[in-house]
Amino acid sequence: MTWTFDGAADAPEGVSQRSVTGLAIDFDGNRILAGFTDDPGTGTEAGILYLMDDRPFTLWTTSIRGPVNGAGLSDDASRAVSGSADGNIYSLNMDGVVRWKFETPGGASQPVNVAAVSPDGSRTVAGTQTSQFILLTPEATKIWTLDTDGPVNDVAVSTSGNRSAVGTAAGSVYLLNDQGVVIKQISHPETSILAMGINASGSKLAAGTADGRVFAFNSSGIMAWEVFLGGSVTSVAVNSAGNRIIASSGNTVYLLTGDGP
Amino acid sequence: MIAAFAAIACGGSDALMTQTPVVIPSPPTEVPPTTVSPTSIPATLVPGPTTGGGQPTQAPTPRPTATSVPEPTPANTPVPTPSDTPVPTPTVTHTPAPTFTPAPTPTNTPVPVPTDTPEPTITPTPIPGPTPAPNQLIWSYAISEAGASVTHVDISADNTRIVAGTSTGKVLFSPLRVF
Repeated sequence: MTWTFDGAADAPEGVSQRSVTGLAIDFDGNRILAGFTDDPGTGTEAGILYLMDDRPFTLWTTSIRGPVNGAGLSDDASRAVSGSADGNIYSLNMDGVVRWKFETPGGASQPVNVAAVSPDGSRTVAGTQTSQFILLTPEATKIWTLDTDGPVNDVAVSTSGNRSAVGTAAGSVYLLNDQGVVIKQISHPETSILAMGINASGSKLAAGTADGRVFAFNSSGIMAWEVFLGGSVTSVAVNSAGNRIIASSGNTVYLLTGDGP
Repeated sequence: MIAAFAAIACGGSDALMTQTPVVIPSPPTEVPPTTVSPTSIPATLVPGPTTGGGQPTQAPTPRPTATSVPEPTPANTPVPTPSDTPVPTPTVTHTPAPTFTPAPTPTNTPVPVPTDTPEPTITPTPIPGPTPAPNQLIWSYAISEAGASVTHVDISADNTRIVAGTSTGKVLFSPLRVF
């Protein structure tokens, strides 16, 4: 079964542009969390989250104050999380109710925040425009914070938070353990890291760059391979086994073997 | 040294004038003023006259006229005149005067006329296209909507579904391998 859901057609009146700015799928693909940012053309953007099943049927929608910047879904779809340009991280339950929102240090004056949730839903990670990487408990208690070398463009976290990763605009990939200790910092100052993905066990990490590359790393941060796709790599994701990596660049979706060339 | 020997000889003569005449020993042999080392010549005593005590009764014998013994004239050993060793006259070798070679007259080299070299054609360096290694790319899918780009993708953990979102607000869903 293949389908296309037109979020723009579902946008309220006055929205001139709706784009997908966050997307996640649960373990078996029965739930899809889509985050949209609506641009009414007046300079005031708004965000909205949709949870759909695989038909696609919309299970719920929830508006958040600011544009959506990243979205995550636990394996059982019981936990959803979203970053927002309003400076908050939002956590929602399986019914779309906001459980909590966490205001990042930069606040609304720093509009870029990204978020992800671990497959088991026990950890939430967030990154800010003020170069901070934060690990949170399910109750929004901050476990640790890492100061990075540049604004955070994307984050990823494995089960129980045993591995988490952050990509920065300064071209660094940080890989951390569950204590917030940096296992490795991989620096590519010639580019920016735009996208991050990690599998459930943390054994395979992928990063997409502004200059069109996809890097794959192991759990120690050792680069396994890289491949050049062309334009900026806007998104990457890794399946649970780590043997498949999906990436996007331009108008194209690429499915790569996680084992490398 | 020579003066010492002469004094000894004179003393001997005075003694002879009061003793029985004896045979006067021959005058000492002149010793040429040879340069002698201090230990080379031991002092030699001249034996004195023997006293004859058993003849008091005899008439005195007319005393012989004393014969003056001419003092030996020291012979001066002529000092050898040092002979001047002629200093060899150095042979002067005349360095031949340098021969002046006239400086070559500079020849005006014609200035090369610059030729318009055609600018090299810039060959664009081929930028690797979106071609992952064949054994790495499983497939790719380009969305057909004009002007749209893919902003987000995800894959289910069990590797059965994929989903993509676009800049135009569309969400595409598919089982893996088929869009």
